[in-house]
This record gives sequence, structure tokens and C-alpha cells, in this order.
Amino acid sequence: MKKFHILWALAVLGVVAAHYMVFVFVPMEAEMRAVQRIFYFHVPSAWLCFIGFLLCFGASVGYLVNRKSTYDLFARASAEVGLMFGLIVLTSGPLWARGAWGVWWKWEPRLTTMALLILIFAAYWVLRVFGGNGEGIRKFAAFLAVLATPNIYFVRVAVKKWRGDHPNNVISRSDPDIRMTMYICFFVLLLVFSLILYLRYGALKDRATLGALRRRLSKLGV
Amino acid sequence: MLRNHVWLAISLCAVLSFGWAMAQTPANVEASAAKQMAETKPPQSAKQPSAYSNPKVDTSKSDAALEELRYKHLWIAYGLIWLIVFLFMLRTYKVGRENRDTLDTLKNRLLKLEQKDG
Repeated sequence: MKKFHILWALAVLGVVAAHYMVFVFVPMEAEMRAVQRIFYFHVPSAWLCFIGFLLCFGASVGYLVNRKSTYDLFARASAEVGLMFGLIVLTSGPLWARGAWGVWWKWEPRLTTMALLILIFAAYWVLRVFGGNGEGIRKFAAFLAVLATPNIYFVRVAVKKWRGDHPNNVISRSDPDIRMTMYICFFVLLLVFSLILYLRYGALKDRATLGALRRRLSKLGV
Repeated sequence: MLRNHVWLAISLCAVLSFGWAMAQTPANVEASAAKQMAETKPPQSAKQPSAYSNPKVDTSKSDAALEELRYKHLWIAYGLIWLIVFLFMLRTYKVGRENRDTLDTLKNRLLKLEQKDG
């Protein structure tokens, strides 16, 4: 528990440092000006969204192979946290686009594939929330996650393959200060991601224990 | 106790982020931006005006409006980012607390029943 406190304190310090880097340290980008600063949380959020979905994919495969409920709970928790970061990408993206492109949204390959990926995982989440907790639903959700995750590849290659307008490889082509700030923001958000995932998994595990206890009580006739 | 720390941390992040982004206005950033602009190369288009641009049209007003819009979107984006994190944490916290409370109640009931039955 003490370690958990230390990690939260580190996360807060990291967030403070990341904001200092974003708003004070990093130079103003000449073309996009202030709105470019959205990138420092937008891009790492997209990476963390992918990490969340990849973790969900791994845990879903684990569940389909071993049928252990721990894998199923972890898959659900990581999909939900990934979806939260996906929502951050979908809200901060149009705000950047309006300031940089002059429009809120473009039916451009990366934006479209990303929106589709998030919609599929939103469907996964709806299924988990309203579909109950039966064996069939768990298997269906696991297969859905396994089938949805390869879409990350299409999001990744969309700009090159279909000649999109979305900035691509912004890290490798940018100023060293911009690159460093982006990496710091990523590691800080990764820590926040891990802590939220831990909390979410704990809450789901408690709910599963509660269900088991209720079943035990009903068997006793209480 | 732990939950209080978590909420304190999240609230601090939210306030800090929002405040910092709000403080970013064209006026107070202009001085530092001018210094920083020297370090980054301006785009080619900024140096050479387009052949289609009309020198008689005063673009300074629309440029200022665009600059204002960019700052506004910057703080809205950071505000929304932390709002999403905050709401997700709130949901997780509520679910976790409800589960723990119910778990404790059920565990106590089960313990009492087991003691009663011997």
C-alpha cells in the first residue's frame, strides 16, 4: 500500500513536470503555434490507447486458452482504460484540427481507422456492461477483442498507405526539445495509465468476489 | 485514506493543467515566444508569401482571431483531458466503494451464519 502511495506521488510530480515542459520549456512551433502543444498529450494518449487494446488482446488470448477469470477481468480492465485514452484522442484531436487545419474533422485515413477502432472497443465495452457475466459473453468478448486489435496496424500505416493528411512520424522529424517533451509526457501518462489500470482491475476483481460470495450465500439459503 | 490521496492527486492535476493552459494567452506568451521562435525555423510559406495573396487585404485581424482560437482550443483540450480522467476515476472509485461495502456486509453475514451453525 505504501508503494502505491509513492507511485501516486510520483505520478503527480510527473504530471507537474510534464505540464512545465509543455507550457514553459518547449519552444513554440512556428507553423501551428499554440495549438501544437495539444500534441504532447494527444500523441502519448494514442499510444496508450493502443497499449490498452494490445493488453486486452493478450489477456483475451490467455482467457481463450486457459479459461481463467483473472485473464477475463484483466482484458476488460485494460480495454476500458484503453478506451478512456481513446476518448482523449478523439476529443483533443478535433480541437487541434480546428486550429491547424481549419476544420473539426476530416474523413482522412488515420482519423477514420482510429474512429473505427475506438467504436469497435466501445461495442466491446457495451457488451461487457450490459451483456451479463456468463461464459458465452466472456468468450464472445474475448473473440471480439482478438478480431478488433489487428486494426491498430491499419491505424499505424494509414497515412503512408492511403496518403493521409494527418501528421506522421512527428517524433523522429522534430526538434530535440519537442522530442524530449513528448517522451516525458508519454512516460508520465504511462504511469497514470498503470495506476488507473491497477485500480480498475481491483474494482472488477472485487465485483467478481462479490458475485461468488452471493452465490455461496444463496446456496446456504440466505 | 488512500482514496483521499488519489482524489487529491487527480484534482491537483486537473487544476494545475487547466490553470497553466488558461495562463497561455497571446499577450503573456508573446515575449517568450519571440525568443523561442528564433530557435525554430519558420515555415517556407511564412518567408515567401503565396502568389495568390493580395497585399491590399489586411490579414492581421484574421491572424489575431486564429491565434486567439488556438489558445482557446489549447486550454479546452487540456481541460477535457483531465475531465475525462477525473470522471473515469470517479466511476471506478464509486464502483470500488460500493463493492467493498457490500462485500463487508455479506462477509459479516456469512461469518454470523457459520458461527450460528457451529
